[in-house]
Order: sequence, then structure tokens, then C-alpha cells
Amino acid sequence: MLINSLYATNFRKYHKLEIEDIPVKGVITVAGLNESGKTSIGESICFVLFGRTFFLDKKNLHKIVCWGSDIAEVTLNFTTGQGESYCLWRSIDRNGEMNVSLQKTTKGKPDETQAPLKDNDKVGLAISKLLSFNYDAFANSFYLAQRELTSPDPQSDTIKQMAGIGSYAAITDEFNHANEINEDAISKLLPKRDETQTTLDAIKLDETWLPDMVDAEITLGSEQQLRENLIQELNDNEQPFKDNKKAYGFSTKIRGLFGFLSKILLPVLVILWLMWIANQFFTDAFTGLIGSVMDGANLETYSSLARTWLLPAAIVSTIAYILSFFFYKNANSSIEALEHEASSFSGSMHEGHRYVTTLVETLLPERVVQKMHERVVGESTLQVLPPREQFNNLDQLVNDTPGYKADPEEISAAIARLTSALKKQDGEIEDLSKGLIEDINQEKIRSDKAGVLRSSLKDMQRIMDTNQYNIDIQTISIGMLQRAASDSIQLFNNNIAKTSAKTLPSFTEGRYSKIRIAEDFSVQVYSDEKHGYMDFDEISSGTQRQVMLALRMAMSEELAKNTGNDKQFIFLDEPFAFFDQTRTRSTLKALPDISEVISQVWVVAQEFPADIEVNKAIVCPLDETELRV
Amino acid sequence: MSAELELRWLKTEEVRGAAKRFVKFCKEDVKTQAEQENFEIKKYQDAVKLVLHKLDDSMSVEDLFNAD
Repeated sequence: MLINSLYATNFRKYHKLEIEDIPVKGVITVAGLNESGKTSIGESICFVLFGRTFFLDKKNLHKIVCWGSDIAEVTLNFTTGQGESYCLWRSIDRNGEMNVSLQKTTKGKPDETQAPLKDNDKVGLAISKLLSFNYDAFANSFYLAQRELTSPDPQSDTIKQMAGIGSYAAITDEFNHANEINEDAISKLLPKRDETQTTLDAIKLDETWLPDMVDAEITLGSEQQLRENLIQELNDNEQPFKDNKKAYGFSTKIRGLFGFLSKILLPVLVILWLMWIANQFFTDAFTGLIGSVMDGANLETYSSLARTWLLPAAIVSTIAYILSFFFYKNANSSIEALEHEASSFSGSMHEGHRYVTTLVETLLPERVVQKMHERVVGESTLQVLPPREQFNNLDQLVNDTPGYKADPEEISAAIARLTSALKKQDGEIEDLSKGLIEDINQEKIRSDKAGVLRSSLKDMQRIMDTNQYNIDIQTISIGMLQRAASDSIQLFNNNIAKTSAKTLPSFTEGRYSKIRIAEDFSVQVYSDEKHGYMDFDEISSGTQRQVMLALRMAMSEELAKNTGNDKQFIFLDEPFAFFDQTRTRSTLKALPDISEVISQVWVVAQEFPADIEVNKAIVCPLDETELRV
Repeated sequence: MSAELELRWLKTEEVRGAAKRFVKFCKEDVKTQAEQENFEIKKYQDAVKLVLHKLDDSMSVEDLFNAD
């Protein structure tokens, strides 16, 4: 963060304060005698940024209002580490009532597209986000108030923030707490899960048992339906068979008679038609041929008869043949239809025979049959077939039926035995089905109960797995943060040592060259005279201030880097209070080049050596209340 | 080294401050951790995302202005 300009009205001694054209890089000196308002400049920066000053608590903050005025206002234009510019305004009245406004700016002018932020809390939050450091870190780094320089508290959040691990500890604590919550959730669910698992195990549900029973029930239903259809078929065909047998006999005779006639008539009609053709179209030749085997009187008679009757005889014989063939074919069709019916009837009997001679249990899964055996009392078609002798002649009847050779009475008797056996099977199958349906319903209840338990188990396991995964991730994260913190501290210490090595010799006239910070953040200084590290409290109090200033500069650089502030201002109020002239001079010379990050260095002192080149010199007037530079 | 171990999805330019340094650290740390027994890259990546989520203050200054 770099300061672009600062304005204040009625702030401390100033009725009007205006500091503009502040260089982004270099040293800005603030000089003046006692009570000339040097410190007020630093306080105004602190007030506008954080709504407080180093010396005044909230209760006494209204004392910054200039004597005789009602309200003090400070406006600060600044640029963040991300290169964005803002205008921050803050006021306070005599009652301590504070107002604030934050506005984004472009090229020094308010960004009209965005309304300014005016809520105290929101501005505070926005400032902490823009700067990425809080007041404590600010007061321990970039803002050195006029006071004793002290070494940072190793346990303070500020030092952790400087090292870039400020948020690590908070996140680690959060993860540890989350782990406790996750572990608690698991330990609460564990007994519940075990109890549910025990209940599920006690059900001893066989996943294949219900499907087997359902399949068996479907098979039994199908078998029952087949038997019922067969009984109906046998009964329906019994009487027609008797009736058809007579029709079959009659049709057989008709077919024989007309078949015979057809065979006789065919050659006769052919001969008659040939003779008529010969007589009609080849008369002389035919008469000559006949005449060779007949005498004259007979030939005359033949010729007379042939002319009169040969054609009618041929026509009559043809008609007779057609009629005979028609009747023959008609009888044949009837016979075929009757034989088809008889074959179907024979097939039904054969099927019935097969059913009554097959054990139903062979159609079902073995363990379903076992279960049924437990239920059935006494003999059953499940295990016992009807006596074989009941159906001894059935095979013969089945063979004789298609040609209507079987005796209808024997057929009736066989059908009666067959349907009786089938009905018995049908009834038993129905009983078995009823029992099976009961078993299926019970198994479904057990299966549903197991399903609910399984679903509950699955849910519990999912929750436990999620909690365990969270624990795993959080534990890995904690380890990662610890390693990152250790890495950061090491880097922080190295950087502090590196940066202080550039400043300390200038600040101490080459007597001390390095600063070392231990794991516990205690400070040691390398003495070039003693060729070894000395504890901080072993060195003189004057030198301690110089060491602390070097340390402050180095730590400020680290804080700036770790908070994304690639360019940062620092305000040092009376840092040379215990410096002699030589050390002040060498320190001032060194300040502009100490750091690329801490580029804008504000230094407050009563006076500065005239030969030291600075980038902006502000001289505070003792008797005036206005300052414009 | 596999692409997974390079954590290419982690972009240092998309984060700043503590998060930026953490991302840099992870890119080095993952190589060491991958040599450990039972190392799971998926869990490591999830842990990185979780920490970054915590480090990243989700509400930006822009959000504060727009919410006002």
C-alpha cells in the first residue's frame, strides 16, 4: 500500500493539512520542533485507516478534534498492492461519533460507476481485505509510533502474520475442532451401525430364496392352468369323438364307392370320346377299320348306333365321372377333418397321460419342494403318482384314436380316469400354491425389513465414511499446514537475516552485521568484534534500538510480501531518538535502498542533516495551524 | 514425474499473500510426500483445496461494494 495524498481538517493542531505529490519511492522527511504537529501526520494516517491512533483509545479518540472545532476529518488517497486506488475518508465529532466512506478512484477521481461504501463495519472489513493486515500488525511494522522500540512478542499474532503463518494456526485449530466433531459423529454412529448389522444378521435372509419361491409359484400356476385346460379339452372332445366315429365310417364308405366309380368311368369316357372323334372326323378310315372285323349288316347297325348314341354316351359318362370324383373328394376331405380332430383328441390324451405320470416336484427347485414336503401331510402328487395300471391301455387308445379304431366306451372310461387324476393334481397344486403364497408373503415381509435395515446401514456407513474422509483430509491438511508453517518460519528467518544484513552495518557503523531469529522468535545479533552471536539483552540499549529498527524494517518487508503488498509505505516516528549524528546520517543514506518492497519511507525527526538528499521534505510549522505541501 | 504430482491446476498467479506462498509450498511438498507410503494424490489435492478455501477470503472487496 502506498500513500498518494493526505488531507485533514481540524485534526489535532491542524485546521488544515494537505500533503500531495507524495513520491511512490524514496524518503519523505517530516521535520519540526516539539509540538509542531509531526506526530499528528502519522496519527492521521492511523486514524483514517483503522479508526484509532496509537496513543488514544476509543474512549478518548474524540480528543483528536482540533480545539474549538466540532468535527475532525481525514482523507487518504492510496494505492493497494494490486494497483487499485481508493479514497478513504473518516470523521469524528466531539461525542466520538465516527463516519467513514471508501470510494474506488481512477486517475485520482472517484469511480462514478460504484457508490461509496459508508457502513463502518463494511469499510473496516474492506480495509482489512485491501491491506491484508490488521491494526496490531500495522502498529508492529509499518507504523513506528514515537515510543520505545521493543522486540516483537514471539507468541503474538503479529509475528505470525509477519511470517505469513497468521492464518495457519487459526485454520489448524479449526481443523482440529472439525476432527473432534467428525470423530464424535463416528463414535455415536458406530454402536448404532453394529446393532443394525446384528439385527440384519439375525434375519438370515437368503437373497435367492424369495425369487425361487416366486418362480415356483409361477410354475405351479402355469401347471394348474394347463391341467384345467386339458381337462376341458378332454371333456369337450369325448362326445364329438363318439359322433365323429359314425360319420367317419359313412365317409369312408362313400369315399370307397365313388373312388371305385371314378376309376371305372375314367377309361370308359376316354374310349367313348376317342371313338366319337374317330367316327366324326376320320369316318372312312374308322369304318374301314371296323369293317375289317365286322360283316356288312353289323357294320350298318354299328354305324347307325354310333351316329345316334356315341356322343350322348360320352357326355353322360363324363358327367358321371365328374360327379363321382366330386363325391370322392368331398368324402376324403371329411375324413381328413375327422382324423385331424381325432389326432388332436389323441394328443390331449397323450398330454394328460404325461401329466399324470410326471411328479410335480420335478418341475420345481429342490429346496422349494423340501419346504412343500414340510407342509403336505399324507400322500400327494408331489411325491406319489396314480397307480400305473389305471392307464395301461391308454397308449393303445392314443394310437387307435386318430383312425377311429378305438372303442368309444373304452375312451370314455379312460377319459374319466384321466380327468379324475388331473383334477386331483389340480386341486393339490392349488393347495400348494396357497401355501407357497403365504411363504412368499412372509418372506417379502422379512425381505422388506432387511431392506430397511440395509438402507439404514448404508446411510450410516455413508455418513461414517464422509466423516472419516473429512478426518483424513483435515489431518493431511494439518500436517501440510505444519510443514508450510515450518517452511515459512525458516524462510522468514532467512529473509530477516538477509535484509538485516543490508541495514544493520549502516545502523551500527559496522559493529553488528547480522540478526538471527530463533524458532521461538527470540533475537540474536552477530557481533563482528566478538565474532559470535549475542543475545539481544547483552547489547547496549542504544544499539538495541538500532537493531530493533533494522529488525522492524526487515519484518515489515516480510509482512508486506506475505500480504501481497509488493510496494509498501512505512512511517517511522522519531526512529533516531537514541542515534548519534553519524549513525543517523548513515541510516538516512541507507534507507532509500534498503528494500524494493518498503519503497515509500516516511521519517519523522526534529531535524535532518542538510546534506542528506530526500524525495520530499515536509517541515511542520510551530505556530501555524495550516500545512500545505 | 507425473502431471498429477506437478499440481498443474494450482496457479500461483490466481492467489496472493499467504495463499500464494502456500501454493508454492505445496508444489514442492507434494514431491516429498509422494515418496511416503500410503500417499494418495486425490486426498492430498483435496487437502490443498480445503486449505486454500480457508485461506481465501471468499467475499471480495468488490462484493462488499456491490452488496451495499
